[in-house]
Amino acid sequence: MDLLEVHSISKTYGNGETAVQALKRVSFSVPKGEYVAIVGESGSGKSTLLNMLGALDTPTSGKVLIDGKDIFSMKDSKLTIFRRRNIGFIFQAFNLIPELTVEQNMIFPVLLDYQKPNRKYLEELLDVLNLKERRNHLPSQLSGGQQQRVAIGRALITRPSLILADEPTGNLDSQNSSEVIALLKEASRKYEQTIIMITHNRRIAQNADRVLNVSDGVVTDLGRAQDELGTYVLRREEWKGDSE
Amino acid sequence: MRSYLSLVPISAKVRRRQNRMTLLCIIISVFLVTAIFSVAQMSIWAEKVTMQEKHGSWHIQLENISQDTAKDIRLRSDVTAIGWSEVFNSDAEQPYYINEKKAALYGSDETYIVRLANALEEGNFPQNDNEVMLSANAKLALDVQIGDNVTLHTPAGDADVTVSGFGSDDKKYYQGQTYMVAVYMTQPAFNGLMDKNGITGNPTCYVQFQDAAKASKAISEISRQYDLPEGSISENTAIMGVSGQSSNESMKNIYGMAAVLFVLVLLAGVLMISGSLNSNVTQRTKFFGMMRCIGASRQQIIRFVRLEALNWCKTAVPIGLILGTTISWGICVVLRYVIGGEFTTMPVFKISPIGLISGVAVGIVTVLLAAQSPAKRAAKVSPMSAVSGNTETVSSVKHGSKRSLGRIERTLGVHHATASGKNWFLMTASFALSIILFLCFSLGMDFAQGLMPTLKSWQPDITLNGYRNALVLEQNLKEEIKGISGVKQVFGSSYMDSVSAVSSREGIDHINLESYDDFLLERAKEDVVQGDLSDITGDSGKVMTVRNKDNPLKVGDTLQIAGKEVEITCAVSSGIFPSEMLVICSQETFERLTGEQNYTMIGVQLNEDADDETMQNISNLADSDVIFMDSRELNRDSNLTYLAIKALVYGFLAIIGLITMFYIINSISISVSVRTKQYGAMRAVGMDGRQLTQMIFAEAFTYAISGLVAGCVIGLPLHYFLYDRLITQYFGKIWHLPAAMLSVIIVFVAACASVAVYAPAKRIRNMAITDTINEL
Repeated sequence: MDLLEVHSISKTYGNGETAVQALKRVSFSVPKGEYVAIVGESGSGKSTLLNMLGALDTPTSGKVLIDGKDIFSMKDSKLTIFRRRNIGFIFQAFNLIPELTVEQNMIFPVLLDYQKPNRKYLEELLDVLNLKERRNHLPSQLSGGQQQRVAIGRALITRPSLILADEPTGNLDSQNSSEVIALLKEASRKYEQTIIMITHNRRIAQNADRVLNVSDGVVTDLGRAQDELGTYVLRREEWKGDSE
Repeated sequence: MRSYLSLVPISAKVRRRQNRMTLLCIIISVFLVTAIFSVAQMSIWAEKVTMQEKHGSWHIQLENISQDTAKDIRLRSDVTAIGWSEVFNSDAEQPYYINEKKAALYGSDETYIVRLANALEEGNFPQNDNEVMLSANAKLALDVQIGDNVTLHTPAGDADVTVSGFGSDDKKYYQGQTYMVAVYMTQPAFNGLMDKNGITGNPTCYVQFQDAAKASKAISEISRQYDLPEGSISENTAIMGVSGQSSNESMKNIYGMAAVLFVLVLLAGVLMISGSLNSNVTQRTKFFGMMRCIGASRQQIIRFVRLEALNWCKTAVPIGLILGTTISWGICVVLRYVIGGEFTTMPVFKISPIGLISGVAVGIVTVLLAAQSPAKRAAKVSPMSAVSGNTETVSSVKHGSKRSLGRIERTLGVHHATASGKNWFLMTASFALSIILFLCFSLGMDFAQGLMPTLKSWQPDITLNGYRNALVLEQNLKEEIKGISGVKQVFGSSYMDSVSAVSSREGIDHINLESYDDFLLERAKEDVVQGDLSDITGDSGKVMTVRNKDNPLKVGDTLQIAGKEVEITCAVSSGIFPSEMLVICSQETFERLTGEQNYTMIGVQLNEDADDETMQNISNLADSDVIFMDSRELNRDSNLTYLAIKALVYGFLAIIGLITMFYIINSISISVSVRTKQYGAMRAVGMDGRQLTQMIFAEAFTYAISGLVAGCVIGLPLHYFLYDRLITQYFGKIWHLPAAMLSVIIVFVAACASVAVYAPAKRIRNMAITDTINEL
């Protein structure tokens, strides 16, 4: 069953002569548990697409269904709760709360939902993310990789079915990048979560189950890059994204 | 951590430096309100003591009630005391004398004199029918002491009585004059005397309740229960008023003014804290965006910001309360020990519950009100701003800068100020509002000065006035008084009311005529509002009038007085006698018009070395038809009151100034914070620190200048309007451009704008260029 269904969404900024069409009738679907990489040039519309998937921004037309629910038909208050429970965000700039410890940062979304954090699950996450030793540290006492792992923990704590990541390795060196992606992948496999991630890193994209290319607001499915390297090479011309 | 709101105190601890400004704003509001209301309450306490001393501690007085009814009322559980008193010959018109002075006779009981009227100043209440208590002015007027014998002369015969003490239930009336003396005797003695003279008495019953609130409730009950006719119950308004229980209109006005004051401070507080909170929210847009992204609802964000604001109260309110109370103690100490006068009853180290409660209330209410708009603003932050870093605080610019003001940094600064119409309007409005308030509040001083004629340079310390303004004081008496040691200046004035006159102005058939001697004419120059006073001197046939709303006479009018024509060539703002239809002329003109040479009033100003002997010598010159009035204490009190009003007005101006300064500093700081990224980019392409400062300077001064213009355009006509209504109409003074006030305002606004630029410019200059670009 498809967790995410995108039906012909378009997004236009401005109007008249200054109108810019950031997304043009985009449609695709992502099954549960799949790991999708979105690639494309700067300004091609990747972030706009991700914002639409996370209901952070509204499309000019079209529908996005998550778990069969039309997210743009919901009222703001309902949408907030839906996002809180079903979507996890990971940012390039980590966006941790500097005054809270690792553990407090991770449980924060649960507290927003007026729930008690599941201690067992928290311990498990800390273990998987290799943050047990650092649980009482403040973000400023952590390396970039560790901070991003905390952000991953925060995204996973509510067991969302969809994780949206906007260049999560953009601020990390290559070793940390690989580590973070491996952890993210492992976690999502373990908890059967769908990941959609924007990346400029070809190697990370290669590890995805599927690659979507965004160019001038149009999305093309590049298929399973990982399994068919040959296909990927053949299609490389289509992907003119930055590479390391 | 049990709730997402637990982040509030944790965050507050870490962000202490950033929150300093907001904390300071709350502290200032709480401090101001606590100080103002503490001093107000302490003044009311002091007023209560003073009022009790002056007006007694009884709550109501009952006329025409029987002894039985009074006994019945005494049995009420809320009544603490009942006393009786009765007066005869209070205006001294009847031939009753104590030694050679006119006497007002009182028959009272001890409860009234000692407990209810606080009348006893020295000695004892008469213990038998042969003893009397005299008003304290008898010491000077009759030269008597306790134990001396005095003779009471009545039409039915004389009686020798002994002075048992001094005091009066109307101290103010008898204080300083030697014209008449109050004689207090026991009720049986009084009744006996009245019987002998064939006069029927009608004593008044005075009732004291447990407190003013109970008295207020009991009035209608008693009236109903004993079926008392209307007007037979009257309140002691002074006492009921200071307790907040009087139905008296003027007291209600005082409470109304206090309420207005509270609202003003509340508004100022909201403005200050709101500005500061807004800046706080603006600087944390990305944080709120992130909160929204990870699942916080708008309501949760609003709750978060409100709680954050309330959390500051935890520290700020106690500090504000302590500061406010300490300052109020300081003010009370100054009022009581330095200024003295009527403030000597001021309590010093007393905690004011009203001050504390209003301080806490202002702290919490202002913070909640002030947090309203920033909280909504924070809730409106799009979750996208966490992803994209777009703060959405700089509204999209619709048109570029068209003006050219020489250097690019100045042009840009002005453009930043004017680009957003709403922002420019708000900033201009807040500057203008302060200027308008400055102008209007400064009027208070002129009004106070007008209200207190005792502040005039001719104000006498001692006045000798003919009884009922009779022309009984001979001119040589002036010279005689001048010869007494300790006398600085003596002047005389004659007065005649209802003098028949024909005027060039219709509807005038009489005037009141007053003369000024040379000293008064010289002093009147400071009060001239129209025309030239030099024409008035000598027997010139030129006269002047007093300009105010009650007087129809105008400069240019001619009058025929006793067949002789005079012309009004000058108008002054006030005269010595009541100003309706008043015509003032020189002494020579007065003599020619009326044929009278005597004065109605002789005023005496004393040197600092004047002593009791000086007073006694002057008093000895006053015959029994002359009212001798010692106004030294009254003058001193008036000067002190004026000083206190001055302090109050300046205090308020200082508060307005402080609020304006904070608002400006905060607003410029916010404006710079919002444009940090832009400034970073400008520095990256070559703008140096000096240019950056100039750019912010240009922005700040654009607000200041536009605010100044708007403030003057609205404030000056308003100032003129209020001046015309309050000062010109009542005191005759003509409006002049308040140039000194305007200069102060211009310097103040310029100083504020300059100070406001300093900190943000320094902050940006000291930040690494890369930081300013990456900063939100």
